Amino acid sequence: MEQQNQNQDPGLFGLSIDTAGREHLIEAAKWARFLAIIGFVFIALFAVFAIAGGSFIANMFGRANQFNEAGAGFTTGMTIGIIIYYLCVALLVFFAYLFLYRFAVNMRMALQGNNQELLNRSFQNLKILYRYWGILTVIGLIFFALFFIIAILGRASM
Amino acid sequence: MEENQSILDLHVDQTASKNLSDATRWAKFLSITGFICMGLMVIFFIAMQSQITSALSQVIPGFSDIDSFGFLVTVIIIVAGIVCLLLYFLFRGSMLIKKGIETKSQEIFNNGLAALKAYFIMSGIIAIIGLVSNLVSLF
Repeated sequence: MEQQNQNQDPGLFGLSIDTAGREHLIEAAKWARFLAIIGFVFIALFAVFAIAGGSFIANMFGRANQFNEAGAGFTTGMTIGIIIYYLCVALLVFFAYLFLYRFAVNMRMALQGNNQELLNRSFQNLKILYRYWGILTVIGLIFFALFFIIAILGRASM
Repeated sequence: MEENQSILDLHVDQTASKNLSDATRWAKFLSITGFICMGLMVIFFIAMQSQITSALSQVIPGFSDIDSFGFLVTVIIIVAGIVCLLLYFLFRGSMLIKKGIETKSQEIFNNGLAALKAYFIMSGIIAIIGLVSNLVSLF
Protein backbone atom coordinates (compact mmCIF):
# COMPACT_ATOMS: atom_id res chain seq x y z
CA MET A 1 0.00 0.00 0.00
CA GLU A 2 2.80 2.32 1.01
CA GLN A 3 4.70 1.37 -2.12
CA GLN A 4 1.59 2.00 -4.22
CA ASN A 5 1.21 5.45 -2.70
CA GLN A 6 4.87 6.11 -3.37
CA ASN A 7 4.44 4.99 -7.01
CA GLN A 8 1.49 7.28 -7.50
CA ASP A 9 3.20 10.22 -5.87
CA PRO A 10 3.41 12.81 -8.63
CA GLY A 11 6.21 14.74 -7.02
CA LEU A 12 5.54 18.45 -6.67
CA PHE A 13 8.25 19.45 -9.13
CA GLY A 14 8.16 16.31 -11.27
CA LEU A 15 7.15 16.00 -14.91
CA SER A 16 3.52 16.38 -15.80
CA ILE A 17 1.32 16.03 -18.86
CA ASP A 18 0.77 19.73 -19.49
CA THR A 19 -1.27 21.34 -22.27
CA ALA A 20 1.43 20.88 -24.93
CA GLY A 21 2.16 17.30 -23.90
CA ARG A 22 -1.55 16.53 -23.77
CA GLU A 23 -2.03 17.76 -27.35
CA HIS A 24 0.90 15.64 -28.58
CA LEU A 25 -0.42 12.56 -26.78
CA ILE A 26 -4.01 13.03 -28.04
CA GLU A 27 -2.76 13.23 -31.61
CA ALA A 28 -0.36 10.28 -31.14
CA ALA A 29 -3.16 8.17 -29.61
CA LYS A 30 -5.51 9.04 -32.47
CA TRP A 31 -3.02 7.90 -35.12
CA ALA A 32 -1.98 4.87 -33.06
CA ARG A 33 -5.63 3.76 -32.83
CA PHE A 34 -6.05 4.22 -36.58
CA LEU A 35 -2.87 2.19 -37.22
CA ALA A 36 -4.02 -0.57 -34.88
CA ILE A 37 -7.45 -0.84 -36.56
CA ILE A 38 -5.85 -0.98 -40.03
CA GLY A 39 -3.45 -3.60 -38.66
CA PHE A 40 -6.34 -5.73 -37.32
CA VAL A 41 -8.12 -5.58 -40.70
CA PHE A 42 -4.94 -6.58 -42.57
CA ILE A 43 -4.26 -9.45 -40.14
CA ALA A 44 -7.81 -10.75 -40.60
CA LEU A 45 -7.41 -10.58 -44.40
CA PHE A 46 -3.98 -12.24 -44.13
CA ALA A 47 -5.44 -15.11 -42.05
CA VAL A 48 -8.36 -15.58 -44.48
CA PHE A 49 -5.99 -15.62 -47.47
CA ALA A 50 -3.67 -18.04 -45.65
CA ILE A 51 -6.52 -20.51 -45.07
CA ALA A 52 -8.09 -20.00 -48.54
CA GLY A 53 -4.69 -20.13 -50.27
CA GLY A 54 -3.73 -23.24 -48.29
CA SER A 55 -6.93 -25.02 -49.33
CA PHE A 56 -6.29 -24.03 -52.95
CA ILE A 57 -2.72 -25.39 -52.80
CA ALA A 58 -3.97 -28.60 -51.13
CA ASN A 59 -6.55 -29.08 -53.94
CA MET A 60 -3.99 -28.35 -56.64
CA PHE A 61 -1.37 -30.74 -55.31
CA GLY A 62 -4.03 -33.31 -54.41
CA ARG A 63 -4.90 -33.41 -58.12
CA ALA A 64 -1.18 -33.58 -58.96
CA ASN A 65 -0.85 -36.59 -56.64
CA GLN A 66 -3.85 -38.26 -58.28
CA PHE A 67 -2.45 -37.96 -61.81
CA ASN A 68 1.19 -38.32 -60.74
CA GLU A 69 2.07 -34.89 -62.13
CA ALA A 70 4.78 -32.46 -61.11
CA GLY A 71 4.46 -31.51 -57.44
CA ALA A 72 3.07 -34.92 -56.54
CA GLY A 73 5.32 -35.12 -53.47
CA PHE A 74 3.48 -32.23 -51.85
CA THR A 75 1.34 -33.72 -49.11
CA THR A 76 -1.69 -32.39 -47.26
CA GLY A 77 0.45 -32.36 -44.11
CA MET A 78 2.82 -29.89 -45.74
CA THR A 79 -0.11 -27.67 -46.76
CA ILE A 80 -1.45 -27.70 -43.20
CA GLY A 81 2.07 -26.85 -42.01
CA ILE A 82 2.19 -23.82 -44.31
CA ILE A 83 -1.28 -22.68 -43.14
CA ILE A 84 -0.26 -23.04 -39.48
CA TYR A 85 2.98 -21.12 -40.17
CA TYR A 86 1.09 -18.19 -41.73
CA LEU A 87 -1.52 -18.23 -38.94
CA CYS A 88 1.30 -18.11 -36.36
CA VAL A 89 2.80 -15.09 -38.16
CA ALA A 90 -0.66 -13.45 -38.12
CA LEU A 91 -1.01 -14.18 -34.39
CA LEU A 92 2.44 -12.73 -33.61
CA VAL A 93 1.62 -9.50 -35.45
CA PHE A 94 -1.87 -9.41 -33.92
CA PHE A 95 -0.40 -9.10 -30.40
CA ALA A 96 1.74 -6.14 -31.48
CA TYR A 97 -1.35 -4.32 -32.79
CA LEU A 98 -3.27 -5.27 -29.67
CA PHE A 99 -0.66 -3.52 -27.49
CA LEU A 100 -0.75 -0.51 -29.80
CA TYR A 101 -4.55 -0.40 -29.58
CA ARG A 102 -4.47 -0.66 -25.79
CA PHE A 103 -1.90 2.15 -25.64
CA ALA A 104 -4.12 4.37 -27.79
CA VAL A 105 -7.43 3.61 -26.07
CA ASN A 106 -6.04 3.90 -22.52
CA MET A 107 -4.26 7.13 -23.42
CA ARG A 108 -7.42 8.69 -24.85
CA MET A 109 -9.46 7.66 -21.81
CA ALA A 110 -6.74 8.82 -19.41
CA LEU A 111 -6.56 12.25 -21.03
CA GLN A 112 -10.35 12.61 -21.22
CA GLY A 113 -10.94 11.59 -17.62
CA ASN A 114 -7.65 12.85 -16.10
CA ASN A 115 -7.06 9.30 -14.88
CA GLN A 116 -3.53 8.61 -13.66
CA GLU A 117 -4.01 4.83 -13.53
CA LEU A 118 -5.08 4.67 -17.19
CA LEU A 119 -2.15 6.87 -18.17
CA ASN A 120 0.24 4.46 -16.46
CA ARG A 121 -1.49 1.51 -18.13
CA SER A 122 -1.15 3.25 -21.49
CA PHE A 123 2.59 3.81 -21.03
CA GLN A 124 2.90 0.21 -19.84
CA ASN A 125 1.36 -0.98 -23.12
CA LEU A 126 3.74 1.26 -25.07
CA LYS A 127 6.63 -0.37 -23.19
CA ILE A 128 5.28 -3.87 -23.91
CA LEU A 129 4.78 -2.95 -27.57
CA TYR A 130 8.40 -1.85 -28.09
CA ARG A 131 9.78 -4.70 -25.98
CA TYR A 132 7.73 -7.16 -28.04
CA TRP A 133 9.01 -5.76 -31.35
CA GLY A 134 12.53 -5.64 -29.88
CA ILE A 135 12.45 -9.31 -28.86
CA LEU A 136 11.02 -10.32 -32.27
CA THR A 137 13.79 -8.29 -33.95
CA VAL A 138 16.47 -10.02 -31.84
CA ILE A 139 15.01 -13.44 -32.74
CA GLY A 140 14.89 -12.42 -36.42
CA LEU A 141 18.50 -11.24 -36.34
CA ILE A 142 19.61 -14.52 -34.71
CA PHE A 143 17.83 -16.53 -37.44
CA PHE A 144 19.37 -14.31 -40.11
CA ALA A 145 22.87 -14.75 -38.63
CA LEU A 146 22.37 -18.55 -38.44
CA PHE A 147 21.16 -18.64 -42.05
CA PHE A 148 24.16 -16.55 -43.12
CA ILE A 149 26.64 -18.83 -41.28
CA ILE A 150 25.01 -21.98 -42.72
CA ALA A 151 25.13 -20.48 -46.23
CA ILE A 152 28.84 -19.63 -45.88
CA LEU A 153 29.66 -23.09 -44.44
CA GLY A 154 27.63 -24.74 -47.23
CA ARG A 155 29.48 -22.80 -49.90
CA ALA A 156 32.86 -23.54 -48.27
CA SER A 157 32.15 -27.29 -48.16
CA MET A 158 31.20 -27.42 -51.87
CA MET B 1 6.14 25.30 -20.44
CA GLU B 2 6.82 24.82 -16.74
CA GLU B 3 4.16 27.31 -15.66
CA ASN B 4 1.44 25.21 -17.31
CA GLN B 5 1.84 22.59 -14.59
CA SER B 6 -1.04 22.34 -12.15
CA ILE B 7 -2.12 19.93 -9.41
CA LEU B 8 -4.98 18.74 -11.65
CA ASP B 9 -2.57 17.71 -14.43
CA LEU B 10 -1.68 14.09 -15.02
CA HIS B 11 1.79 13.34 -13.76
CA VAL B 12 4.68 11.23 -14.90
CA ASP B 13 5.02 9.35 -11.63
CA GLN B 14 7.53 6.60 -10.80
CA THR B 15 5.52 3.88 -12.56
CA ALA B 16 5.05 5.97 -15.69
CA SER B 17 8.69 7.08 -15.83
CA LYS B 18 9.89 3.47 -15.37
CA ASN B 19 7.58 2.27 -18.17
CA LEU B 20 8.63 5.15 -20.42
CA SER B 21 12.34 4.55 -19.72
CA ASP B 22 11.97 0.87 -20.68
CA ALA B 23 9.94 1.79 -23.77
CA THR B 24 12.54 4.33 -24.91
CA ARG B 25 15.37 1.80 -24.43
CA TRP B 26 13.65 -0.69 -26.74
CA ALA B 27 12.57 2.03 -29.18
CA LYS B 28 16.19 3.23 -29.39
CA PHE B 29 17.36 -0.34 -30.06
CA LEU B 30 14.70 -0.79 -32.77
CA SER B 31 15.54 2.48 -34.49
CA ILE B 32 19.31 1.82 -34.50
CA THR B 33 18.74 -1.72 -35.82
CA GLY B 34 16.48 -0.24 -38.51
CA PHE B 35 19.13 2.33 -39.55
CA ILE B 36 21.76 -0.43 -39.83
CA CYS B 37 19.40 -2.71 -41.83
CA MET B 38 18.50 0.11 -44.25
CA GLY B 39 22.19 0.94 -44.75
CA LEU B 40 23.06 -2.73 -45.32
CA MET B 41 20.18 -3.10 -47.79
CA VAL B 42 21.37 -0.18 -49.92
CA ILE B 43 25.02 -1.42 -49.80
CA PHE B 44 23.87 -4.95 -50.70
CA PHE B 45 21.93 -3.70 -53.74
CA ILE B 46 24.85 -1.66 -55.01
CA ALA B 47 27.43 -4.39 -54.31
CA MET B 48 25.36 -7.16 -55.95
CA GLN B 49 24.54 -5.02 -59.00
CA SER B 50 25.62 -7.55 -61.67
CA GLN B 51 23.90 -10.56 -60.03
CA ILE B 52 20.64 -8.67 -59.45
CA THR B 53 20.66 -7.29 -63.01
CA SER B 54 21.20 -10.75 -64.55
CA ALA B 55 18.53 -12.33 -62.31
CA LEU B 56 15.96 -9.64 -63.09
CA SER B 57 16.75 -9.57 -66.82
CA GLN B 58 15.54 -13.18 -67.02
CA VAL B 59 12.21 -12.23 -65.41
CA ILE B 60 11.70 -8.75 -66.90
CA PRO B 61 12.67 -8.41 -70.60
CA GLY B 62 14.85 -5.38 -71.31
CA PHE B 63 16.12 -5.05 -67.74
CA SER B 64 19.74 -5.71 -68.72
CA ASP B 65 20.67 -2.07 -69.31
CA ILE B 66 22.29 0.00 -66.60
CA ASP B 67 19.45 2.60 -66.59
CA SER B 68 16.95 0.03 -65.31
CA PHE B 69 19.25 -0.89 -62.44
CA GLY B 70 19.83 2.80 -61.72
CA PHE B 71 16.05 3.29 -61.50
CA LEU B 72 15.74 0.30 -59.13
CA VAL B 73 18.54 1.64 -56.89
CA THR B 74 16.90 5.08 -56.87
CA VAL B 75 13.58 3.53 -55.75
CA ILE B 76 15.37 1.53 -53.06
CA ILE B 77 17.24 4.62 -51.82
CA ILE B 78 13.95 6.61 -51.68
CA VAL B 79 12.22 3.81 -49.71
CA ALA B 80 15.23 3.52 -47.37
CA GLY B 81 15.18 7.31 -46.92
CA ILE B 82 11.47 7.30 -45.97
CA VAL B 83 12.00 4.42 -43.51
CA CYS B 84 15.06 6.18 -42.05
CA LEU B 85 13.03 9.39 -41.56
CA LEU B 86 10.36 7.37 -39.74
CA LEU B 87 13.03 5.71 -37.59
CA TYR B 88 14.63 9.10 -36.94
CA PHE B 89 11.39 10.32 -35.32
CA LEU B 90 11.31 7.18 -33.17
CA PHE B 91 14.98 7.63 -32.24
CA ARG B 92 14.57 11.34 -31.49
CA GLY B 93 11.41 10.67 -29.46
CA SER B 94 13.07 7.96 -27.40
CA MET B 95 16.20 10.05 -26.75
CA LEU B 96 14.29 13.19 -25.76
CA ILE B 97 11.75 11.40 -23.55
CA LYS B 98 14.57 9.58 -21.74
CA LYS B 99 16.56 12.79 -21.34
CA GLY B 100 13.45 14.65 -20.20
CA ILE B 101 12.78 12.03 -17.51
CA GLU B 102 16.42 12.00 -16.37
CA THR B 103 16.77 15.79 -16.18
CA LYS B 104 13.11 16.35 -15.19
CA SER B 105 12.87 18.91 -17.98
CA GLN B 106 9.28 19.49 -19.08
CA GLU B 107 10.35 21.11 -22.36
CA ILE B 108 12.62 18.25 -23.43
CA PHE B 109 9.96 15.73 -22.39
CA ASN B 110 7.32 17.54 -24.48
CA ASN B 111 9.68 17.66 -27.46
CA GLY B 112 10.06 13.89 -27.09
CA LEU B 113 6.28 13.47 -27.09
CA ALA B 114 6.10 15.68 -30.21
CA ALA B 115 8.63 13.41 -31.97
CA LEU B 116 6.61 10.36 -30.91
CA LYS B 117 3.49 12.02 -32.32
CA ALA B 118 5.35 12.71 -35.61
CA TYR B 119 6.38 9.04 -35.71
CA PHE B 120 2.77 7.87 -35.34
CA ILE B 121 1.47 10.42 -37.89
CA MET B 122 4.09 9.36 -40.44
CA SER B 123 3.32 5.67 -39.81
CA GLY B 124 -0.37 6.45 -40.31
CA ILE B 125 0.24 8.31 -43.59
CA ILE B 126 2.41 5.41 -44.86
CA ALA B 127 -0.40 3.00 -43.86
CA ILE B 128 -2.96 5.11 -45.78
CA ILE B 129 -0.70 5.15 -48.87
CA GLY B 130 -0.24 1.36 -48.56
CA LEU B 131 -3.98 0.85 -48.15
CA VAL B 132 -4.84 3.02 -51.17
CA SER B 133 -2.18 1.38 -53.37
CA ASN B 134 -3.48 -2.07 -52.39
CA LEU B 135 -7.07 -1.08 -53.19
CA VAL B 136 -5.98 0.44 -56.53
CA SER B 137 -4.10 -2.76 -57.46
CA LEU B 138 -7.21 -4.82 -56.60
CA PHE B 139 -9.52 -2.95 -59.01
